[in-house]
Amino acid sequence: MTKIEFNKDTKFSMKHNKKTDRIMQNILLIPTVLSASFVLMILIFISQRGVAPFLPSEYGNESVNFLRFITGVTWYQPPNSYGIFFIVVNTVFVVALSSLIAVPISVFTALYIAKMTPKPISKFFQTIIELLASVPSIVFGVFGLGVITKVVLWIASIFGLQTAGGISTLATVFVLAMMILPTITLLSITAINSVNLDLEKNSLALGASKMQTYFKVTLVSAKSGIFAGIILGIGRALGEATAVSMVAGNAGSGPSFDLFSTTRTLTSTMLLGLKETTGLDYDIRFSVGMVLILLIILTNLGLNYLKKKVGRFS
Amino acid sequence: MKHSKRRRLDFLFQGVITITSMIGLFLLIAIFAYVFKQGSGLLSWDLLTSDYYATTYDTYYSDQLGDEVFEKPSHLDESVYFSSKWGIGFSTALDNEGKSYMLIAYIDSNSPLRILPDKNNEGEVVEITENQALLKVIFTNYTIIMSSEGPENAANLFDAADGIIDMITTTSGKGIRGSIITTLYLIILTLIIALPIGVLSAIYLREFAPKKSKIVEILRRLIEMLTGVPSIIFGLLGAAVFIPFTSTFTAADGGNLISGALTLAVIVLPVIITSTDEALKVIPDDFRQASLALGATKTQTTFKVVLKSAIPGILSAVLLSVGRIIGESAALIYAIGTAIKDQIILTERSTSLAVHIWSIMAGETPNFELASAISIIILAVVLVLNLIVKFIANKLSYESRTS
Amino acid sequence: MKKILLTLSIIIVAIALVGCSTTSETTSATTQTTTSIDQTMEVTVYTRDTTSGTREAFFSGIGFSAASGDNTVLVDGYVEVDGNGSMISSITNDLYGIGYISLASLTDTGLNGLQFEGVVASKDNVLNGTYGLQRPFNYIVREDWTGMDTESQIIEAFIAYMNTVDGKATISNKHGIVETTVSDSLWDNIKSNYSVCTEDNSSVTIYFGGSTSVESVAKALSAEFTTKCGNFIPEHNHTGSGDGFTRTQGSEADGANKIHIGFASRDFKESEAYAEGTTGLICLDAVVVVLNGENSILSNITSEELRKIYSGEFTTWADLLG
Repeated sequence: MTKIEFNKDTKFSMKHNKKTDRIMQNILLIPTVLSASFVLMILIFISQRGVAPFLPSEYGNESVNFLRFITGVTWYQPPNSYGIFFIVVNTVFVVALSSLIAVPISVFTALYIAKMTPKPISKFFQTIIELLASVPSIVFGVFGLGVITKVVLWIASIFGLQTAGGISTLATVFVLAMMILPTITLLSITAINSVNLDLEKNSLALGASKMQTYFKVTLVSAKSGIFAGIILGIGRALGEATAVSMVAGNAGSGPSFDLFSTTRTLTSTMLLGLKETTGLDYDIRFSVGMVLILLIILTNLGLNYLKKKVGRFS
Repeated sequence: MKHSKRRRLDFLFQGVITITSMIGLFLLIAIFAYVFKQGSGLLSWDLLTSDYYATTYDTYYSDQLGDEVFEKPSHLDESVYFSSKWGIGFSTALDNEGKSYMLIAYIDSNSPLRILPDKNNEGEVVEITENQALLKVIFTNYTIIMSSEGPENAANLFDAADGIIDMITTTSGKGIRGSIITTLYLIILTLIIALPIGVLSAIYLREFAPKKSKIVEILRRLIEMLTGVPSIIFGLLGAAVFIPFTSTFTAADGGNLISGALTLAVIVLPVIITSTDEALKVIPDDFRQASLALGATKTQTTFKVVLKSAIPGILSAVLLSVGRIIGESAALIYAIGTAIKDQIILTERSTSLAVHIWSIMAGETPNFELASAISIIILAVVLVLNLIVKFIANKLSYESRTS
Repeated sequence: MKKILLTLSIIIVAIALVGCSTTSETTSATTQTTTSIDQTMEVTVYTRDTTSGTREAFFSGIGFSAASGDNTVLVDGYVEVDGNGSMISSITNDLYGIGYISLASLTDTGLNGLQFEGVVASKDNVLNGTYGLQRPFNYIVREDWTGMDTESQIIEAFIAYMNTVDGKATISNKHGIVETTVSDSLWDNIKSNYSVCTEDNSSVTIYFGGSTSVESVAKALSAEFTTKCGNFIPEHNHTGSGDGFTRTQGSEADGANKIHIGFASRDFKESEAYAEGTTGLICLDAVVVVLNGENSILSNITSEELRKIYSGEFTTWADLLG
């Protein structure tokens, strides 16, 4: 409203001028602070709900035993005992395996796109990877349940093993690997592209083959950027919910390292059997959410520490 | 000797890398091939426009039945059982969930059942048409047709009867109209909430924020952290904050579209802020200087000159957000719920297309066909949006190179 | 020219890849169908979650009540599924699976439904009591109807409807087991007693909830009854037998999840202290033990065998066949 006034008045003083800008600056601070506050809101409100099950007299019955919650190897024992330790172990196991599959594929794909192919093909492949990155989780879930579980069933039958309809640790690993592949690939491409071309040229001039150069010079120099991609990918894998819930099964106890048996991750625990919207069985999922947030933060810190160490070596 | 060995090794590596890099392409094609194979049969205008829940009709027949004997049309095969007395044929069909039901496969244009009085609304009529399902008939001779006993039995009982006390038919249902409307509502509401907040925040951070301020740096970090939060955690935020919030200020009672839109708004905020910020970043400083030199305030400069040049960037932010909203499932399961609805009310539960898939896959028998048909829609929209964004980005970088 | 060649080669690669994928799918399908039952394989044990009425009926029916509400007494590696539907799809995919479902959902599944103690699960055997794995479907309505006058009258009419010829036909159409008697009346003959049904109720929502097993029966009843009773809006949110009581007369009776009528696929427990005259029987249902459709090495199973499978005493199919 004040703006219109200024438009009419062309001869305002410089001081007046500064004043509107300062007002505007303060007005604009409001949405910015609001945007920034959501992370804090997540931490505060989820913790508030997540802690409630462990506090006395919140649900009429006895409160959930916190020690048993963090060490438990059975998800639910009536009437009010929950255990999450094996779920954390399973989650880490599944995510670790899926990154073991996804990382080499992603790095090779990135190398291929960035270095080994002429522009039109590389552009085409990059677009494909970008599109894969935009496929929603629920579609991966439908694909996972419809195709990946059948593939797992087929693999199991080759080895003469049993699996509950293909719904298994392995299916979860495959689906997660598919989902983090584009994330890691895209960041690796950026990292590889930002490697100084002179380094490669020098290496080639010294008589190294192209492949030697790629592996010993390019990838080594892009190491830190690729690692950043891996960290992002692992973060995504830890928090991925819908697709995982559809292929993980709902194992009641564990931990299980059998690739062909059902498993249970933190996120699948939060989504499966979600029928109530009140009461202990609902609120305990906020506690699981807290553990998930904690796990993601710890993983991030750990991997970043590792990244710094690896970076120092070169 | 050593040289040739190395060349062989090189060749091997090159081969391995080339093959591995096909995996991404292969996966994308496999996903498309699968959802198309499963879902394209179901994908029709009817699916998009019809209700999820079937409409039930309740009728009767009390007139004197004529002597006309109807002929079974020759195009009907043996799977259709025909009542020559009433001119109607039944068969067994499978619904979208793979369950069998009794279909009215044929009804003669002169059949006495063609137009029947609506039993519960005097003066109104019900049109019995092919493709309706027959659930139950109670005849005046007290025999009862139940759909579970099959079409042959139904045709026989019709032939033996002279009047109908109660006849219940339904439309097929299982359409996704409600979920499409919900998705559209969510897109509009979310953008109304998130776009101003996001764009203004980006403007503040890029144009107005004091440089080298610690507080601004913290704000920036906090906003960046939002991108790393998994969507299910946003769902918990919706359940813990936005559902109680909307329940207090609106007629809502539990999960609703507004709490869903608020949750989605938080999810797309970082997308909008980053994308707008990127757009503001590439605007040459000359623009700003020129405007300021002409005596415009920073406010005028920002909103008239800078923002105008940032419009393509904001547009991509909108498109990316729409893609994210359409694909989002985990957060909405918590922030709205999973109840599929036909009548969409802002303060009540309903499902977006993605949650509709979750609902039918996680609930009773997983329904791959319907899930894949909806997946095709979601994929098509999301991929087209992404390609447009890429096109805009290419065009921008081309323009900035040439200018 | 080069570009065209490139595009062409890409398309060829793509087609080859798709070809690969489809062949691999078909081979997996064929290996599935040609596999015969290997008796050294373990039995995959499927169970419903602890809130399920089907689970309670099953475990109390085989004399293993300890497992009704407790997973820890079950064999290691059991698989828990959260609905009749997911039980069906899991066992359809698992040649070595064993589970239990409601008789109502057995038709069309292609699963191998077993006799229990030598008795076929059929309507007659349930009604005359010879089939042991059976349970009642009960309803429970609110006790406190304050401010819900119309709703209360609609529910009253609904309960009357369940006992008419019309209602019983619908219940048995959904495979609920009801005894029909000559004294059953037609809805048309008694509807004049329920004046609420002549009014326009299209703005009234009736909330149904409770057992998931009763869901299909309840939905079929409400879908046709709404046309007969002023087009009220039936809203179903079935979450398990326990909530049938909790949300009508228990702790959630006045909360956001309150319902007008709830269902339980079991008898009400002692802890569920309902008010006199607020409950009743709708029909009976049988629980059937099922195997994969291609697994025909068994046609009958006893409660002792089931106890041993579910407690982990028997682990392989050879154990079971002795």
